[in-house]
Amino acid sequence: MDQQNIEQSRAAANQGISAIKDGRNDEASQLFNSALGYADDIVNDRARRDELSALAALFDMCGFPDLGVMAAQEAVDLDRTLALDSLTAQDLLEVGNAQMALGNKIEAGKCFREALDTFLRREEYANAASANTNLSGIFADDGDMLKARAMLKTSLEYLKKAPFDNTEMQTRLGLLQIMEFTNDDLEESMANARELCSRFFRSMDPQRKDATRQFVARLGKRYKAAHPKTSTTTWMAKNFPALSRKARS
Amino acid sequence: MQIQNSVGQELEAYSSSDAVANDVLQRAWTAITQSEAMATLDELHLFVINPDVASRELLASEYYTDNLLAMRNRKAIIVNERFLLSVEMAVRSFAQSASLLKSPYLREDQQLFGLVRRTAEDFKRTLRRLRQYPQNPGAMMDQEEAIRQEMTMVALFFLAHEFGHLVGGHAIGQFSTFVDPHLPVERRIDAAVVRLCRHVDEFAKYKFSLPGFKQVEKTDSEQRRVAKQFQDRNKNLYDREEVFFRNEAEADDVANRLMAEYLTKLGGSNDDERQRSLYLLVCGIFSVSLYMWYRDLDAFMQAIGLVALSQSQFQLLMMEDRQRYVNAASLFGTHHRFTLLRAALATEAIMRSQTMWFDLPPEKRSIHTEVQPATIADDAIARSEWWLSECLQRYSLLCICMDTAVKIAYMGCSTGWIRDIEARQGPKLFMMNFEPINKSVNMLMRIR
Repeated sequence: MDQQNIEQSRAAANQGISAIKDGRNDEASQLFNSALGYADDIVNDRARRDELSALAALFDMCGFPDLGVMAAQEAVDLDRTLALDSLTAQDLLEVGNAQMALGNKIEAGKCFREALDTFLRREEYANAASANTNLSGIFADDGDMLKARAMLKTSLEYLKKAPFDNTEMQTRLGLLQIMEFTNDDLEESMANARELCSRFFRSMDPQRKDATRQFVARLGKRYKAAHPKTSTTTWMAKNFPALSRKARS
Repeated sequence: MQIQNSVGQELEAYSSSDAVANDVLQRAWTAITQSEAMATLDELHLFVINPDVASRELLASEYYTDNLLAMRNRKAIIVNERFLLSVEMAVRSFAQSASLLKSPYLREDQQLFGLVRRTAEDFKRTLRRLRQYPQNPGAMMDQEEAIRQEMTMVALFFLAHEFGHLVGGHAIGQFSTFVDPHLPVERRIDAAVVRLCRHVDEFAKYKFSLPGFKQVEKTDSEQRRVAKQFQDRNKNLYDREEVFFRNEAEADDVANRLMAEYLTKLGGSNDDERQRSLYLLVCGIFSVSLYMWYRDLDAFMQAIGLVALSQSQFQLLMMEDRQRYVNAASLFGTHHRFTLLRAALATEAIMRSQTMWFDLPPEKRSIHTEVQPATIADDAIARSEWWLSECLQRYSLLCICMDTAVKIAYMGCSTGWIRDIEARQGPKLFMMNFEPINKSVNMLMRIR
């Protein structure tokens, strides 16, 4: 019976993804709700938790945080019942992400903090970096850039202990934006941008690539203002070969 | 008052087993029975119907209602429990976001159509899930209590209107589903023109107008001359519409006064409480009326054999066939003023009674604020500013969303005239631009 519900839940979720691709978010909303319904019917707590957790991430990614927040909260409840400490914290991150998408920063912050505490206690540093980077986004959003920058640097420290590329890319991207906003030390800003581009530029999605290019271009202008004799093209080719014209061609 | 038959006994014997519905009804009913207007009635009863367990006789009786019903001869208001649960569904769904502009349902029409469909097809489970994780972060209080208070305000909004019918001595009042998916849509041009012209008058009275179509409002215009012929041929319908609208306005006045009185009592001398209550009331009325409007639009489009995707698509469909404007008279129902209009008028009346905002000179008024919801927990002044702004944005969006209904009413009222012109000059192309919700939100952002 559980297997059937799992299969039906996944089938409905897949149809929901197809509906989104077809430009039918109304249908996707119904299908995702249906997937959630089938997942709710799974009797085995662990299996239900696994499905709900996966659905929560999917809903958030697809722009349905209203459904995502409920799926993730239910997953957290099950994690706690089953005493799954690390997974509780991971699902809390998802609740936090959904709350952020719903504009509920206070609630999101509580989730990220609790998750961060758990990960640090468990010495799961890659996950701790993820929670910490998400939390820094709330401070940045509220205009506390210095606090946000300090937190992102802490995330990088965590990532040195337990590397995780995706989180590092997010963290460095965040740092790139904040360092521009706070007009940070040029060399330090460049070092972060170089690290970001050399290691992650090729694997970025087009939107992130565009944003990164624009940030780096503005960084180039700052460098040019400080070093008028330098050619921007040479500077770009030397520091950001992945972004240079040659690389693009 | 005893109702002396088996249906009456069944009505009197039933009480809801749903704890939330019971709690909310009790709170709203207490507000009504303790109101000043109650002194004008010697007796008043509240009955609840649950269509899932009601007998066939009750379902077929005069006491049955899809939503709410006031009966003067029974000195009673009857509420369908299912209606209350729909209110709860809308309130809980929209309350998930603290800030209006972060609500996922305002991103596009498809999100709203998806919401109304998915909540209808998996009603019980969706409601159970929403109840399990109550969210109303903007209220800055216990989340479930905030939801209950918001629901109470909406229940009061509807109940107080029916109460207004009883106070006004109207024989019957009823809030019913505008588009009943089980009934055929309006097909009679006479009825559509009479009804929609009456709605045009009502919209125009409250300055919800259509630039470029001003002629339709003027009684001596060519459009209204043709419409008058329809009215004369359907004098009974026309007279009934007039009585309906008069009674509706009277009942709304009683309801608005009662709600303002309730807010004042709730808040007492505590400004913070008063402002929170106003915020919850406006949020509730906004959520439920927008939810019902999209549910009606969806039901209407399905009734004419179409799947609703967005109001832009609706625009093309309406252009395809003039008869659809006749069908669209169903969107306005037969028992009430248009829901969004009623919601906007009530919101404005209550806000005027509770705030000074409308009295400020235009250059000092703004519906927006710099205050962020994350900062309001420990700052009463910021909280007050943020709550007021959220109320004003909801009120303004309700007014903007009226646009589609206004356009349908104006076109529908002109249908007879257009038909006459086309008979003389051949087919004409009339295109109305219906704004999807995301464009309405963009418009909201441009308001000062």
